Amino acid sequence: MKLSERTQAVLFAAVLLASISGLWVAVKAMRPSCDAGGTLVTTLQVRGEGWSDTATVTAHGCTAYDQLESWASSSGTALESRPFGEPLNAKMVQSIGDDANGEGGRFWQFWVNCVYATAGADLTVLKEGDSVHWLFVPDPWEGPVC
Amino acid sequence: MLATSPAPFKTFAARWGESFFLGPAHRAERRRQIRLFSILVAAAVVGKLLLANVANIEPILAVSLIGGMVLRRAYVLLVPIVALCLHEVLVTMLFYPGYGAVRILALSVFLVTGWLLVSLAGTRVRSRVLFRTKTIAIATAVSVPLTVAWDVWTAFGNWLTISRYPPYNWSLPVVLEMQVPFTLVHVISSLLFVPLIGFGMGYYVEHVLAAEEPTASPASQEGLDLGTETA
Repeated sequence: MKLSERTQAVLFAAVLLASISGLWVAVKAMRPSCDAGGTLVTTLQVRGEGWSDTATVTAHGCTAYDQLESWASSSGTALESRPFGEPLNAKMVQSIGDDANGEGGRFWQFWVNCVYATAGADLTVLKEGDSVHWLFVPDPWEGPVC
Repeated sequence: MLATSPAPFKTFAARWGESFFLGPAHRAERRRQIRLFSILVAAAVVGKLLLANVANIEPILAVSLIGGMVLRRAYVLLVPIVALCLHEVLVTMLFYPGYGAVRILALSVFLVTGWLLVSLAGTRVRSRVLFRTKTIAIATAVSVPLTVAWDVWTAFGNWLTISRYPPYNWSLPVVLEMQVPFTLVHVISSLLFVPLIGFGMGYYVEHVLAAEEPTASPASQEGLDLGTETA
C-alpha cells in the first residue's frame, strides 16, 4: 500500500514529535534533583583578583551552584551567570564580584575536593562536607588550587 | 619556456574550474549553486546567532547534511568549511573572547572533518531518492547516527587537544560520559533542523528555482529529481 504524500507527512511529524518529546524528557531527567527543603553544609573558597573569601556554607539545594548562590547572597557578593536554555537549563558562571570571564584572559573555574569539576556548577552534586574552590585564573590553570 | 603553462597546472586549473562550475558554459549552474550555498550559510549564521545561548541546539550539522543533498561538487565541501569559519568568528570571538584560541583552533580540525563527513553522507542520501517527505524522513533518520558520530568524534578531539591536560586531567571515558546529555540535546537539534531546513530548501529548489530556470530541473508531482551526481 502506497501512502499519500499528506499521510506520509503527518506520520513523519508524529514520529518526530514523539522522538523529540522522549529525548526532552530524558535530558530533563539527567538534571540533579535535590531533596526539597534539604540543606547541605560544605566549605567554599572563592579567589578573585586581589581578594578571597573562605566560608562554611549552609545551602538550600545540593549543587555547587546552590552553594555559590547561598554564599553570594549571604556575603552580599554579586553573582552573574549565563543561562543555556532548555532542556538542559544549565548555567555558566559569568562573574563573581567585579571579576568577569575573559578579563585578562582569566575565567572562573571550580574544583571539588581539589579535583577539577567534570560538569557545570548547577549539574555538580555536592555531598555533606565537600570543599569547593572557585578560582579566577587563566585557562588552562596549572598553579596551586588547594 | 616560462611563457607556457606546464600540463599538470593546466589539468589542475581545469579541474578547479570544473569543481566550481567556472566558465560561461556553466553560468546557470554556478548561479544556482551560489544561491543555494548562500541560503544554507545564511541559515547557519542566523540560527547560530539566535541560538547562541542554547547549548547544542544549532543548525550547522543540519546545514552540512542538506548541503550535501542539494549542492554539487566543490560547493558541498565549502559549506562545512565556511560554517567552521563562521563558528570560530561568531562563537569564539563574540561569546568566548580570549578563550585559548590556539587550542580551539586545534579542536577545529575535528569540527570541520566531522561536518565534512556529514556533508558527504548528505550526497549519498541525495543520490538515492527524490525530494519529498520520504527524502526528508530518510535525511532526518540518517542525521541521528551522524549527530552521535560527530559528537563522539569531537569529544575525542576535545580530549586529545584540551581535556587530557591539566587542570582537567580527564580520561576519554569521562569525557564521553560527560558528553551524553549534550549529545541528546544535539540529536533534538538535528530532529528539529533537518526537517525545517530540508523542507525549506526543498520548497525553494522545487518552486522558486525551478520557476526561474524552467529548463534546468523540472519538478514533478513525485518531487524534484536532484540527479545522481555526487561531490
